[in-house]
Amino acid sequence: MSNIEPETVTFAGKIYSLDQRGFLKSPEQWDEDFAEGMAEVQEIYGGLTEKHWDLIHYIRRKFTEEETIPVVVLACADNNLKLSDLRFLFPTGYHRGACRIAGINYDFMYKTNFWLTYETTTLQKEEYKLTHRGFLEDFSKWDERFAQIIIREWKLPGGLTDRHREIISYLRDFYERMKNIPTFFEMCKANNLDVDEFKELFPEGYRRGACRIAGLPFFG
Amino acid sequence: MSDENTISHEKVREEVINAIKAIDNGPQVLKLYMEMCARCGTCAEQCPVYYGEPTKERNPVLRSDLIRSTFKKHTTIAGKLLGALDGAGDFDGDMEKWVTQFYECTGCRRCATFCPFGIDNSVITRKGRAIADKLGLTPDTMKSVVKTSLETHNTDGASPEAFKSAIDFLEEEMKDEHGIDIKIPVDVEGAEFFYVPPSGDVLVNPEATTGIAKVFYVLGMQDNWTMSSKCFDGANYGLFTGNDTDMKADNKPYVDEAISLGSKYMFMGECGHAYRIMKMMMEKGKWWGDLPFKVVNCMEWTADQIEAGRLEFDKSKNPMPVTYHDPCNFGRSCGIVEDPRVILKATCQDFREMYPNRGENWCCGGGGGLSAMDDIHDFRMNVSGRKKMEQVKDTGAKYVATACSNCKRQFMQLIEYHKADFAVGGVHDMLSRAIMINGKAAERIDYES
Repeated sequence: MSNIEPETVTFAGKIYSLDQRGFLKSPEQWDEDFAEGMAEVQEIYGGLTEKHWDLIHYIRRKFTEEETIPVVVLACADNNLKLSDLRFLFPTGYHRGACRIAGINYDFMYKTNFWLTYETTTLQKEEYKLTHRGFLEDFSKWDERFAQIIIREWKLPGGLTDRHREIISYLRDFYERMKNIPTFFEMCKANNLDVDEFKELFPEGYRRGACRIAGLPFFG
Repeated sequence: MSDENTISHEKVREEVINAIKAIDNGPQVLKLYMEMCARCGTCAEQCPVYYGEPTKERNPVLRSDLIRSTFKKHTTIAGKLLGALDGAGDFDGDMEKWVTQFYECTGCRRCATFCPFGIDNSVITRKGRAIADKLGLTPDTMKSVVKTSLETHNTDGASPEAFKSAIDFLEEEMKDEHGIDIKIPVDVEGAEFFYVPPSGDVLVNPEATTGIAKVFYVLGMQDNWTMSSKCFDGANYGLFTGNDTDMKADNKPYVDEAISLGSKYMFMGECGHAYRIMKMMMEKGKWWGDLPFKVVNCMEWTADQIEAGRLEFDKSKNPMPVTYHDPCNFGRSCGIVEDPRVILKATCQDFREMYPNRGENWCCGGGGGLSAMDDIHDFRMNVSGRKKMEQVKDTGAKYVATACSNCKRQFMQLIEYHKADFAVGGVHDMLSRAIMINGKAAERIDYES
């Protein structure tokens, strides 16, 4: 059935098995690669920062040393986090986001305190409005999450790199000023790019690849 | 080993039959429910569980018949003489089926609203659960919730220190939102209002509690209310396991605390069954005699303040379409139906009704404590919660406000499971976001409409 989460995930070449609700099955399997990989699934893009790690280590510590998981308000109070900070750090919430990344399994949380799973975060993010060609309708609605979604579509092994970001920001900048796109050669020259590297970065080409991921409208 | 089993099996059977026979000498109402049913099937059509999956096991009449048929067989003359013709039959000793079936009724009492005789199947369900509880067969989740609650006076198992740090945290949050100090008084003797929320509304989704604090602040009544660091969770799972002793033992500390604080009002939070126990059972039934305080509900009170024009709101803070789900314990059992609507209409731009509503609303599928049981998660998602999902989808709402922690948990899981596109939260949550203090509503960055 479509409602059941996938049973395994692969991060950094390692296979992790998940329980029915998409939480790590056995906590011993947890490592930093899992955290980084799961973070992206939980809509944290651009890697885990120190602030993320602080909370993750706090949860791990509570779990391994005290065999408990504090509820969201107490966790925030302990870590000097505002609820809004938490939402920023972990968009899918405390127990569904942070605890999942920290590799705590669902059953443990449920048995510790079923109120943990009572947290009512907004799960749904607004979807991006796309044109029939798959281009972003509104240039101003672009954010890094959009780029991440497109990159995932392309199945690039390295994901979104800083090089991508450079070129995207160049394109967005250019479009904002000129309401037009630079020619391919202008773009390559400005970014010190050769055709081979470009093909690797944007397998879908220039207009349908680079311009699309930058949230520019379609230029036929 | 098999010997032992048969003995205990026989004993179980005997105990169950004796418990059912005892109904004859018990409260009149349950006895009537045993005798009156005309088996017309009206209740089946109104039952959220039967709607989700119309099979024999899900039919409320047949569920109640587990008790009813045995009752007839052993106590009524017609049942003794006519046997199966009168719907009498003996208990088959299958306790596993017994427990499963009685923990598949959400106790929402929708059947009672529509039954031509007013038969309330939830009372029968509760009896069934009570019999199981006596034999120690209550599902483990329920047992552990009741145990935690009796030990620590809250279902979270949180200590008074943890509670106080949570309150400090909430005060900080409100300071961030409004730039001023809004107090949440704790353990203040002589305060007029003693606020009893479900603990989840403090420790997990605290916006309802900040909403209440803001209302008191605006009215200039900051010193007139208090919470208790020992008693901050109205939830009482004794109601759901059918164990009256547990229910009263859980209830007593709250009454004692209200008396020792010297409060005039026990100010119940957004928790359906907690309010129902306090108002409809404890206060009306005079469990602890005449009380020096009155039980009121926070929504009633806030709605009164709004109608008196004492509060102002910035509706643009809640622009999304909002609907209200009547928790069964508020809507059907306590008649609190207009007050939450007054609050929501005052605080949201686009309030939409869900149909049917008020006393006829469909259960979320997690009533009767089922919401806390993840062992029947799939049942709640696919069977008992089915009607609710359809109802919400029809409204097109992006936010379902409801005044019950159990409903919220059930909704949250429904949203996750069905990948639905709406959010859920409390009634005072909406108020907390929109209420104007010194001409300004809260400034927060994390809300997405």
